[in-house]
Amino acid sequence: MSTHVIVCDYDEALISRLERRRLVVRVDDPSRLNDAARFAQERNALHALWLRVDAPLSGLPFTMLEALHAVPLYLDVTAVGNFRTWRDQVDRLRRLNVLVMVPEDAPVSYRDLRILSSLLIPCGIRFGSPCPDWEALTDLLYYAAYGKVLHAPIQPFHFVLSGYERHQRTDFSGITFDDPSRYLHIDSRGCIALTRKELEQGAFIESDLEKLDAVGDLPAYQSRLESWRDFFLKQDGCAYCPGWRICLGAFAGTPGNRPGCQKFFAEFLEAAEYHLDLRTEATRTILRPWDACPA
Amino acid sequence: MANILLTQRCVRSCPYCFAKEHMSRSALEATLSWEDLIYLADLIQISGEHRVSLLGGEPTIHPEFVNYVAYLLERKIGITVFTSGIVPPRTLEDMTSAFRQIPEQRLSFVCNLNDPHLSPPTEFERIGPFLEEFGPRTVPGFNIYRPDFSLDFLFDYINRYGMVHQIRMGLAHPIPGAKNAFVSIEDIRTAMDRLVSYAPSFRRFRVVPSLDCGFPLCAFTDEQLGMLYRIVGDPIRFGCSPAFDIGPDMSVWCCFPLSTYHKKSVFEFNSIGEIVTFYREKLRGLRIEAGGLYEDCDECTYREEGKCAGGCAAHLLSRFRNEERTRMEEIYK
Repeated sequence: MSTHVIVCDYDEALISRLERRRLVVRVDDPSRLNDAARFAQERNALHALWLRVDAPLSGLPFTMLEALHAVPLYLDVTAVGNFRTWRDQVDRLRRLNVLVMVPEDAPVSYRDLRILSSLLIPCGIRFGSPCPDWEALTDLLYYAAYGKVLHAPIQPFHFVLSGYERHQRTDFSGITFDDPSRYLHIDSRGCIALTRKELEQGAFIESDLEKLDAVGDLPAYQSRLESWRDFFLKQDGCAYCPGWRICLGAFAGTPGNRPGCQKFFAEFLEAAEYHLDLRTEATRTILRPWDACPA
Repeated sequence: MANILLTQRCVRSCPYCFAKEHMSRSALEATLSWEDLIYLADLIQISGEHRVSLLGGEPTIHPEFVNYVAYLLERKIGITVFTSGIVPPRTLEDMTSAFRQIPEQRLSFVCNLNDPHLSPPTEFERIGPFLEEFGPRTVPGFNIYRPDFSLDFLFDYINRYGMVHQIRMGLAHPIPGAKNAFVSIEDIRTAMDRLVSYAPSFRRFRVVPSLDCGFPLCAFTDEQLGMLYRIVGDPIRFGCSPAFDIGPDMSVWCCFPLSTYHKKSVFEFNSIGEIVTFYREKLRGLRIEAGGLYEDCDECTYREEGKCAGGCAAHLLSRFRNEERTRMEEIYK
């Protein structure tokens, strides 16, 4: 059986066909969250509930969310909203197993992410615009990577800082379920796509759900996993950028992006190296002759 | 404890205002941003501090005032708000719903009250709604800036609004380089006589006076100190130490009267402790030049023993700046 986590909409007929698989169930209507969680958990392992709404965090029905305190909740919102409108919900949000995702280009999103993180509510940036505000992103990176006070993880920084290895690529697209080595997206007909965007565009790699376990053998799938090599074959500018090990060319398509993204990802890489050193130091064995010999 | 200014704007124009010089040199429209508030909350927590004072101008006119207070409380930081009590009606409404359930130990107010006979007639009508709502968690504050002051109205306010039975007494000090009303060195003893003359009222209404910084011990006779001790119960401190204020533009200075003295940026320090140490050293430099307000201060044993700081350092700085520049260069920065 494929080890992929399957991402699909809350569709009972579809979920019934995905028995015993790990699922991310996407819901557009908060009132259906409880039903979705209950139904998905009956025959599947629920990896997360993905609530995608065209509303700010402050507009969500928090009392309804409270019933889902044991379920990993991925709240994909358009903005956070004025603190006044959600300040009474801070405790409730802290009790949830939640990740609040805010679009990078939403007004004051960087400020709001700091507020969320400093109040110990896990959160993250959803990249949408081809050319993010690199300076604001760098400031947020500093806060996430070097802040001395306990704060909640900010994605994708936390993902990279806690998992970066010097001789491997670190692909943070999994934060938005877009890493094909871990997630596959399936529509109501059972067609399989590698990312959510491709699913919405109808770009499927397989239209037969029965072949789900054989996806790994498909040329389209394998070529996607190997697509990182293209940057080096083309001798693209990204091939010379040290930060590529983290960005993997995610922002390569936008003209004029490069000085900003190169600078940002160089900083990001430095932060990742720093955290790797911290992790290595924490696990280093130090000789303590005064300790008793292990049996 | 750090004092954070949310805004430079004020709704009053008190003749003794300590902040006058600072405000006149700063951009009036400057307000503390969310990013800087989060930075300061982090700095406070890194430093192991658990309380902060919010000041202005008038802090409640900051558009995010209620949000900032709610945020700091969520960060487990206790708050004392220094206000004139003249709060915009919509803010007061928001404060009432947001703060009613917050324990007084976590959120309290100091309301700076001026003598109604020396204030615009409408001022006290505008303070009433705030005190109606928050009186029981509010300490009245009063600044002595002339020797013939009156405290009678404060006892009336404490009883009328159920305010905390304490009066935070401040002594107005000169601001080097600016003109403000303050009690001259020659008048301090007269002013203290006046203060102690209220001892029967303090006793009768069970109100405790608490002296802010800059009061010199020798301004009181032994008999007066004894009377104060009977009312206060604890040893009275006659200190002058850095309270330090942080402006909306993240500048930091020792205290309002010394706002022009070695002003720095918060970003130059790694903790609250570093700021305190820095300004303590600067104050020590001033005290090396002159011990205190009076010539006797240089050899005063009470000062040597730390029982009295020798009065407010702003008096010294004012004096140094009006004489020939013969002192350590450090003093004039």
